[in-house]
Amino acid sequence: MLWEAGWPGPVLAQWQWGSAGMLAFGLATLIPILLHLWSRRPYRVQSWAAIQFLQAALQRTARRRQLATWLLLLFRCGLLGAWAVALAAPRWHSAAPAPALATPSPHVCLVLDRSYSMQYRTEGGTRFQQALAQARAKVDGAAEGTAFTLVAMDQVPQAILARPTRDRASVLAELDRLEAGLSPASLSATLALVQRIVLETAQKREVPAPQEVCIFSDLQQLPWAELRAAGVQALLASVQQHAAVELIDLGRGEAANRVIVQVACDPPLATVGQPVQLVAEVRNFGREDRLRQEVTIWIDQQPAGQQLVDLPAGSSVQVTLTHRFAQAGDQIVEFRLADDALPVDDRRWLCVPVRRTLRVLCLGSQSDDTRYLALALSPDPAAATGLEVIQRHTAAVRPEEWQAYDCVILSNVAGPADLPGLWRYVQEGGGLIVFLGDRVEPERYAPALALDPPLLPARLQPPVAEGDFRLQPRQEQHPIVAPFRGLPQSGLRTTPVWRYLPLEPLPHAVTVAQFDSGAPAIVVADVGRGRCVLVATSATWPTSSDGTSAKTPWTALPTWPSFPPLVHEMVRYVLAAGVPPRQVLVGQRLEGTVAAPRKPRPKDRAGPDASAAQVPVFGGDASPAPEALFEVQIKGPGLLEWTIPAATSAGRSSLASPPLPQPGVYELRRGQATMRYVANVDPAESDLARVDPALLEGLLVHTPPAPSTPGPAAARPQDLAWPWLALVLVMLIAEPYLAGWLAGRRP
Amino acid sequence: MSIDPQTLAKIAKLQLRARHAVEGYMAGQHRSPSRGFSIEFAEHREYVPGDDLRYVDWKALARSDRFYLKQFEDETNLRCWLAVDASQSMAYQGPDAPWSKSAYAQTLAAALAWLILRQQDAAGLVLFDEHLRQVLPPASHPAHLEAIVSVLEASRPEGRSAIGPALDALAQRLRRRGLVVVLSDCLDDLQGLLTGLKHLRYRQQEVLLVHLVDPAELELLFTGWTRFVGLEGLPTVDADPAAIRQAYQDEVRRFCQALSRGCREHQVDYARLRTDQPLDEALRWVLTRRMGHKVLGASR
Repeated sequence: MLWEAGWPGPVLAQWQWGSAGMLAFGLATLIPILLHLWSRRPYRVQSWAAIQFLQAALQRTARRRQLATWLLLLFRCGLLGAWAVALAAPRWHSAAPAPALATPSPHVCLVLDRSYSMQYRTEGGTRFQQALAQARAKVDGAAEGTAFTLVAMDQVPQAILARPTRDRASVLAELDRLEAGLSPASLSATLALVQRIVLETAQKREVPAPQEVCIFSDLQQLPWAELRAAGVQALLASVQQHAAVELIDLGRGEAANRVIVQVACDPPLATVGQPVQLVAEVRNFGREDRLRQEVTIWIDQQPAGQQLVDLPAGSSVQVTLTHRFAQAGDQIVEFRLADDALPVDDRRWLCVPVRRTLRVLCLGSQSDDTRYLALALSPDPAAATGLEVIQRHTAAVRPEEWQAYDCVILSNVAGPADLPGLWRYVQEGGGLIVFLGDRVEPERYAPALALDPPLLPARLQPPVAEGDFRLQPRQEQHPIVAPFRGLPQSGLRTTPVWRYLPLEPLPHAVTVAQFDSGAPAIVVADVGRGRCVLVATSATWPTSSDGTSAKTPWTALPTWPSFPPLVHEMVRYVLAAGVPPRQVLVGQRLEGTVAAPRKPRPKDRAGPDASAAQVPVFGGDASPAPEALFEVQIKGPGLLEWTIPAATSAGRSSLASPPLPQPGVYELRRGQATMRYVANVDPAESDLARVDPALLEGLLVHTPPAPSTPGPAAARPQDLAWPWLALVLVMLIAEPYLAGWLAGRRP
Repeated sequence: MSIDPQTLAKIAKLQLRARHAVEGYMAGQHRSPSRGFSIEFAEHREYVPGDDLRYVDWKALARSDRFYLKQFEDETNLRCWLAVDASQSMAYQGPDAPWSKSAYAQTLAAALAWLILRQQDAAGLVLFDEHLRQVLPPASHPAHLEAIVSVLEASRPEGRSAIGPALDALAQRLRRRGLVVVLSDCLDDLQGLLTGLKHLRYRQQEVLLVHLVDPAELELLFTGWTRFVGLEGLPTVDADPAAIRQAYQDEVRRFCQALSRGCREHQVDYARLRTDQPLDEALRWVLTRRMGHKVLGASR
């Protein structure tokens, strides 16, 4: 309360301490007292005859000697006291005396926008640097006795100085330590924090005192457009009831920005030697065309390509690079744009998991059911297709084997074996493709639809009578049928189909292709983190032992030229869902379920495929490891390093990292297994368009960025530490002379 | 040419030291030693300022228009008592002094005895502290010197000082006029001391007080805190000499002035000698005082 009521006296109120704790060195004034007591002990003994003269002399000089002793003691104590004062860095304000007790000091809440758009460079430095300079000028030019708080406007705003303080040195020191962030800012969260500070300050004061909120921002549209929300407007109004709100606009002038908005790999799960498309979207947020902008592509820190692109104003351009990864593992792809005024968004990373091969399990009741599937997926075993196709009888699969495969294809299977295991496999990211046929018993598939989420995307009906049907894409943009668009010779539309099982798609499913009768032919749906593709007809081409057709097939699809690409696209489509995203935004956490290392199959042990030893962070395990807590090491850009405990719950371990602070590559390690992730800045912040002025007019005071005019007490506090130190030095030199003079001798 | 005190002090034998001191004194004199202590053997001697006007021969003045003093017969037959302070305080020897006050007094007394006996006058010795410790009545035969020297050599400075009562006791024993030379550091009650001297004067003795001081006792040139342990049972004092030096010197000076003034009042000749002073100079001062010549600056 005394703080709020003001200093006890006008003279004292003009003093401030840069380091008040140093006053504790005043205890050193005890040293000369101890030295005086110690020096009194005699150290020479002399026999003496003329004692009466000594006694007479002592008596005559007693008073003078006592006075000299006290003077010397006082001088030495004063020397050490001056030393303590010098260490406390006193400052003198030559301004008018502080307000009287009845007048409380004003409070200024400084709010600095830390969104990464503030790193936009201008002639006068970055906008954030300008904000700091404006804030410092505000502190220096404020009236005497002004108290300050400091708030960082961020995605999660922080109260750097939550309570009003008059210590300007500490405010300036906090401003010096403040750095621009790498995330967008939240206006609503920031106003909520400011509201709390302003209300608490108002409640603690007995007498109302002026409060001011100064917001230093570039008034970018992204956070400030929140003013359209009624809740945010109410927050602002609440703040204005207790404080005058002032905006310091640092975003004036034209701001052009080019940014890499997103990067992707198609397919998302690559295999060694197979071509992938590395795609980046580059956008020009400026009003002028930017021609011949250089985009470089780096793969595992090695230059992999370079392109010059023309960026029309306000539009995006795709940059594509076809690449074949030569090694398995997590490959880091980086797209770099030539630096502009906001360099933080000119780089974007992508982590591509590269597998040596993808394992596809084809299950059927007979060999005819999977033969053509295997041929379509891997026609030449010697050719490197990136797919390892395994054909098995449906009854020969053990429940724990599902996790060993990237994709499972059921072909003409009467009913799914191990439905719970298969469902869990798909839900945790596995891919399932189901081809129907003459051996399918629809009632045996009904339990799959009762699961939550359902395993199949559609209900099965009894087969229709024979007819002559053709396939038609219903969703031509869908990845499964998109490659066939504009290619009539591919044969997709001419594929003969004589029989099929009618499908009744579930509400969430998507019909990708249909028969010309309108009935769904290919239906897809997401199941948890995985996908399921259901084909209404068969992939079986029955043959007898002599190779002739044994019975009437349902469709010629297995022998049609469209079959291999169709199956490949289906496999690619279901595999894409099973690949967890390896990139997050700056400020987000890495969270997920950590599975225990799988017991390697004998083949895995002998095989060189490194991916089998990896620990999927977001995967699951049918048999959770019985082990307890373990740790995961995370290494990030620069010297960033964490050790994160993985908590075990219900047999599964999960981890959550701290919010990733910087863009770049993060590596997770558990034992010998490692995984990589990348963090990128949110591209939404890259659009430097300013907020609609209409949102600000009538609500806030919109002032141009200018140095604050100094108040009545414009003088900077005078640092008196050096004069005190000089005084200490003079006293140190004078002390022996004084001691000698007082003792009647020379030093 | 005088022998420096440091060299003289190294001579162990007192008699030898005294002889060297006398020879040194004689070398500086233009008169024959046979002329002795009382150098004027003529019936008259010329008046010098300061002489007692009672002894002026007015007839000689009328005749010759010159002032002459009558020389009495006793003046040529001197009986000299050498009263040597043998208290403990006389044992003090400062850090820069060649010898103690006691050694200096003994040597000076021996030298004076030598000179007195040499001119066939009588010399006696008294050792005192708070009382008369030893008395050797004056005698003029040359062998008496050895007795004096042996007594001096055998004496040890010990005991408290009570100069006044000792001089009173000495005065009681004196029947005939003579000269009493008191060799002491005078570190005692001033009034008592002056009373003793006065008593001697009352007994028609000529008194010469030789005030012996050690340079350290005069100047107090010690540095640093010092514990001064008093001799003769005096209390111990802790002091920083530098802090009280000026006051101490003032006290000493004040004491010497008072002592000199008191001696003058009682017609006692007063000489203050430092123990670092050459002995022949000391002899010269003593003898000059005896002669009645007031040598300016002889008293420091």
